[in-house]
Amino acid sequence: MLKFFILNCVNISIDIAMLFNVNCCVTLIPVWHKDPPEIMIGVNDDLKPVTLEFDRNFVFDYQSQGLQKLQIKLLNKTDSDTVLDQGLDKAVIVKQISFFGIRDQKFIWKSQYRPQYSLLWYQQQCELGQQPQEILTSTDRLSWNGEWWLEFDLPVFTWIHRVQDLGWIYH
Amino acid sequence: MGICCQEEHKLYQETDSQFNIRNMSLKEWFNSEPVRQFRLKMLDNHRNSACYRCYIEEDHGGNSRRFKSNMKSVIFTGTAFQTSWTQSPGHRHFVYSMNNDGATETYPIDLHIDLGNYCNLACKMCNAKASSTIASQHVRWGIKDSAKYLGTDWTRDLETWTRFKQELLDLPGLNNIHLMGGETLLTDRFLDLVNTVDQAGRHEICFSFVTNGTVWKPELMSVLSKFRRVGIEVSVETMTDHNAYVRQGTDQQLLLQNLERYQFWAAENNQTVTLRPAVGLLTAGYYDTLLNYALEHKLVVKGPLCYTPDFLDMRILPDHIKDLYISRYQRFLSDYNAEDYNASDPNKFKHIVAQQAHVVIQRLRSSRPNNSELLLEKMVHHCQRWDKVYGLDAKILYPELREYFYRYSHAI
Repeated sequence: MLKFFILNCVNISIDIAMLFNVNCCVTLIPVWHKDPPEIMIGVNDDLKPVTLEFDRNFVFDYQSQGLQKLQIKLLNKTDSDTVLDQGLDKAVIVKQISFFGIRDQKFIWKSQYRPQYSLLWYQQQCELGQQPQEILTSTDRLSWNGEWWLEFDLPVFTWIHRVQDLGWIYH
Repeated sequence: MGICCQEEHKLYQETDSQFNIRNMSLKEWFNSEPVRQFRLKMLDNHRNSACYRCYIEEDHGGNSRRFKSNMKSVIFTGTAFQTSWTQSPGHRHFVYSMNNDGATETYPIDLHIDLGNYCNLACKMCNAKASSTIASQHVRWGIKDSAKYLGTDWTRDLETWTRFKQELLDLPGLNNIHLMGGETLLTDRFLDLVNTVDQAGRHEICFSFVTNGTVWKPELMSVLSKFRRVGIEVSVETMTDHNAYVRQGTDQQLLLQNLERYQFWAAENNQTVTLRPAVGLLTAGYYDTLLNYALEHKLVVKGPLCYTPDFLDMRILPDHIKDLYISRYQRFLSDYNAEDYNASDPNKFKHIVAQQAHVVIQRLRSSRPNNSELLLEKMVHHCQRWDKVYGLDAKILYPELREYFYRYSHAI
């Protein structure tokens, strides 16, 4: 019994030791003319619905371990939101991402985006021999409905070190 | 032995032979009393006197070796110190040291080795301990104390040298060896060390070394090309004749030729060349020429401020000369926008070069110490003494300082 108790204590302490603080701030800019973008935003599939009328910062303060996923989903774009001759559109721009106040556009370059292309536009592109990619990388603009995400691992500073190419690390 | 290539002073009385490489192993040194106490001080929230050089660089907006070393432990000193420290891969080792009187279970992974003081130059800011040429001249001038720096190179002690090489190979996680002299490329111990590491198959170890740029050694470069990373750091002040004035004995044409050789070798072997000035009073007015060269050749510049001897600190310059020099940096900075850099370039050389200019501007804007005139007099005395040895004339090279050279020359 004592042996199990000690083993459990060891396991718990390892789990606690491996939790890392995360502070992540995302700045989003909406583009719209009829109705504002409806989005879902959050981390690791814990997403909250938001109507994005104005520029907004979203801050995520939490503890976790391992691989993390910052997600943004655009939900309500229709073909009528894009009026080419008037330059009108609906989109969400990811202006900036920072971790613990450290900002770098390279964080955005690490992102991926799986758009749900408008069927009409998709067919047009295919006919032109330019089949759109299923997943776009390094994009800061959600111009179709779909999910944009950024994967990073913890501790986030080691991930930043790698992304910013800051040299070798004492391990 | 020491704790860092930038240390302001030893952690013990220099006369104490206990901590000499001849009497103590690398591993013993790493857990010795002075290093344990130093480690505790580093973990404390106080400035350590041995780290003065880094603090002075940081105080002038520079990126010090302390910052860079913290970054190797993934500590973002300027932006998120506290949180990055607690999440550092080395955090448990830091805590271990705090709880165990400064001791560590780790081994050195980044070594700085001084290969003796054998050197062909007599740089104005250097001393007999680091240059055999200066030591010889001092003896000629009757400075007897400098004689102890002649012929006492520790690497010539075969027993110590052989043991040291084995100790080095026995360090399990050794990542980087940084070599300084004297002039590293003049001593055969450099090639001997590299051959030893090569024969041991430890090609994962990185090498970097400082050279004064007057020597090119193809056989050494050939062996070095087998290693993961090699950084060539060239000590040079300006692209004008002022370089040879500061770094006495330099053949400027040969230096430029060698700089091209280093860069060609580095490009062929995917390695790096860095410019390493020591920016002091005699460099400050013409350092922009080196920064321009760095920009043209996409080179990084690591130029710590020179403040020893104190009469070569640019702060002692009269204000109108400081203004003249500052205007040169302002012109230099206005010629390009440092923000407009290629962000995919990992070296960020443009940012680094611009930062160097800003550090010097800030230093030049520092207030003059009260004893500046006395120090200027010492500077003139120092220059004139060496001018006689090398047949140089500061009054021609530094017309803006001519008034002071005339004013104080009679004091000799």
